[in-house]
Amino acid sequence: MLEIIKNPNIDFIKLRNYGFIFSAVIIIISLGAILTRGPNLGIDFTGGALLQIRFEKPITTKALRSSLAHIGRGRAVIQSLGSENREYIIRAPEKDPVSFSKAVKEALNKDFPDNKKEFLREETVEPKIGRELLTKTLWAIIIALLLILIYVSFRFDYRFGVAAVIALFHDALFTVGMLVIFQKEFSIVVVGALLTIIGYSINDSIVISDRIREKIRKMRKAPYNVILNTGVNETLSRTLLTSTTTLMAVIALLLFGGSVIADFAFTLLVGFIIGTYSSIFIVTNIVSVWEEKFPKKKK
Amino acid sequence: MRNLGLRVGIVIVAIILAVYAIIPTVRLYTDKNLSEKDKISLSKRAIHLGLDLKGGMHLMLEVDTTGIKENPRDLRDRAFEVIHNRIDQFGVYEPVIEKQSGGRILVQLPGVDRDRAINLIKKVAHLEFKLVADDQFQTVVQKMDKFLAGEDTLAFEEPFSSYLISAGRQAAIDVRDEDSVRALIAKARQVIPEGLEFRFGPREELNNRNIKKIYLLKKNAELTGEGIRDAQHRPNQSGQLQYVGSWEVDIQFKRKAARKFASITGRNVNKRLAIVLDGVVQSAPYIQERIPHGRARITGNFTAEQARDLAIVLRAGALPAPLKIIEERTVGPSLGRDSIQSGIRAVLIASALVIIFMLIYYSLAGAVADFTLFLNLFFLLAVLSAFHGSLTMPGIAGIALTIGMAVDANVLIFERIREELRSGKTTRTAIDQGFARAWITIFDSNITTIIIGIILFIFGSGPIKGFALTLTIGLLSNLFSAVFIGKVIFNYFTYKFDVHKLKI
Repeated sequence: MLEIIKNPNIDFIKLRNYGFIFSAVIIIISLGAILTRGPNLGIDFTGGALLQIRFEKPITTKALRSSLAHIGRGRAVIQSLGSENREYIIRAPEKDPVSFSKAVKEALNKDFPDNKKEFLREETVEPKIGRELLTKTLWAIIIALLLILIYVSFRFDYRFGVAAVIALFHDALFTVGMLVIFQKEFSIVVVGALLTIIGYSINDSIVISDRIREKIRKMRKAPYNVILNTGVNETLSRTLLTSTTTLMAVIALLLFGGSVIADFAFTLLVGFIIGTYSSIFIVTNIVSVWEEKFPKKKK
Repeated sequence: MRNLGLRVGIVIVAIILAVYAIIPTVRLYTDKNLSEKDKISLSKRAIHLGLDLKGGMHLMLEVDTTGIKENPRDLRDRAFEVIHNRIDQFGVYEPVIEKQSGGRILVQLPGVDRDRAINLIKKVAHLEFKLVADDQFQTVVQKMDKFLAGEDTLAFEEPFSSYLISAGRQAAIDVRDEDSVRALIAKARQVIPEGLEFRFGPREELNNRNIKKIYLLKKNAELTGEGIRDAQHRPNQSGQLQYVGSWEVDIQFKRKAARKFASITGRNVNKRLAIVLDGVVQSAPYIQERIPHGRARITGNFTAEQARDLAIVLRAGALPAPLKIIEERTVGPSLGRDSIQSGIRAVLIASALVIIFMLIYYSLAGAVADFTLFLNLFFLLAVLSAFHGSLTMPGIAGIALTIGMAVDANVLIFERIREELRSGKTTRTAIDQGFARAWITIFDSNITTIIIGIILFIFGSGPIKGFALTLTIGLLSNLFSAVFIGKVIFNYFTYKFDVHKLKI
């Protein structure tokens, strides 16, 4: 029988202050990045145009930029894809995306007439649509969170519900921070990834809360902290195993999934790693502090 | 073992149903020798590839109502009719054209030439009234036959009229012959009298055939859509017995057009006047009498629906609001192909890694987990197939995540069984208890993720929906595969082969 950890018995409650400090540090870094740099909202949300072009012959970013500068669009983002210098994404938040797209195409045809171009992807989004999408997405997140809070409070002690929601904010905030630090674009797909992270984070919290609920019934005499710690330890091998397999799947997506879902996979990777950490160090430790400060009467 | 036979039965039935549901998809995408007709009928029961995978364009159109006082919903409906009419002519395979809230129209066209499609959609609607030259139809067709037969006598004796079929009192053609018929018309151009032209009606169904009516029209329009003030449908007012219960369309012309209309109708009683929208003949009513005051009725055995559509077409001719493209997402066919390839490769690699990991970690029990994982994916595709769902790139990502969740369920179960075994329980009890305990956890955790999936599906837009769809279906089928089927397999083998030591 292969086992990752044999009968783990780590005192996570004792380590809780280290956990809180670590979390505080990464949250401050993330918040700092978000507040100073601000998220790099994609054209899905700001409105704008995106062109993905494959050239027949290699071309440099510089040549593209000067071509765009000629038509006064030098500030557009130019992103090279792959290693052959043939595939590029050009995008810019624009009030009139349709004419931007047209102007760029004309400029490229004029400046590089001998280099055959294939337009792989063309997107234009009016700013109005972007704003609508943003509000709609925020509502989706708020409703999902509320329903989960209700469900968890209903199935478990409400303290676990609150702790689970804090943990998922922790995970989401850190992931957003990393996206900002790594200059990743916030597209609608990345938001989908964030929601998935929320789902997994809740999932982990539930698995542990479930075990603790069971332990509370079985270990009536034991101190609360011991029960909490037993719960975390008994589910530790599951937590690590599931993280390993999920991360394998996500890394496969990241490496082999192609340019379209690379950002999606990156977001999931960051989120799942922090999610594994928070499910071990955050949820139960919040409940343990809560219990120490405001002990619940034993039923 | 309690109910084991029944449970094995359920599993077998589920697998058979899934195989049945998935067959059309497999045939559609693997059989190269399908006829066009088979393809259409199969594609109604198969997984539909999203535009991001097969290439195509997604457009959100909005009627620009700035400075226009008319009802935006009515404007939208009229624009919808215009777009529908044009895309019909475009001959796209499986287009999606839907009315959306807020005066919007969603158009999805798989695999088309982008610039051509945009030009077609942004063009201003053009409505004309043209006289139908029914009296010359026979002679013109005969002349054409003679002319074309002269060129290729061996093939047909009547090359042109052999394509014509009758639709009541009206000639029509099968939609499949449209290209050949148009080619023949172009070829025989010189024998078609100056000032006359052939025009087709919209695609319609007649005796299980897709047909288009064919008309010979006077080239010069008698009147254009700008002359129309309003057109409304209403129950038939004539009181004639033959029209009881049917609907009619009431048209009002502007003053100048009304005078013109009176003179046209006066000169052409008993002829037909075709209503032509963007070159397509929408209707060709008979002129029964001179219509003096610019108020005409089009009667016929119209249903309310038909009369409404015709009224919209008439109003569309006077469409004052331009259409604006507020969102466009076009994916070229080669990017679509790349995406499918990389998506499938990523899912296969992810599955392979997970399968090998489970085998190494849980040995024989890992093989059971791998089998249920396979079934999970199989059911997921079967459900998508049965509901004609669409698979998009984010959808493939959702499948990859389903694999992750499926493994989680198995890990939860197996870790529980191991615990039970460690505490000294027999194999059978350990299996039963392990599944029972893990079930509570798996249920709670899957339900919350399903809640997120459903919320995303309802509130999310395009790409997110595809992701939410596969994730939600995948999680539901995961509950069935990993928990229900997994347990059946364990029970079956431990009871049949009297296993006392479980390799887990």
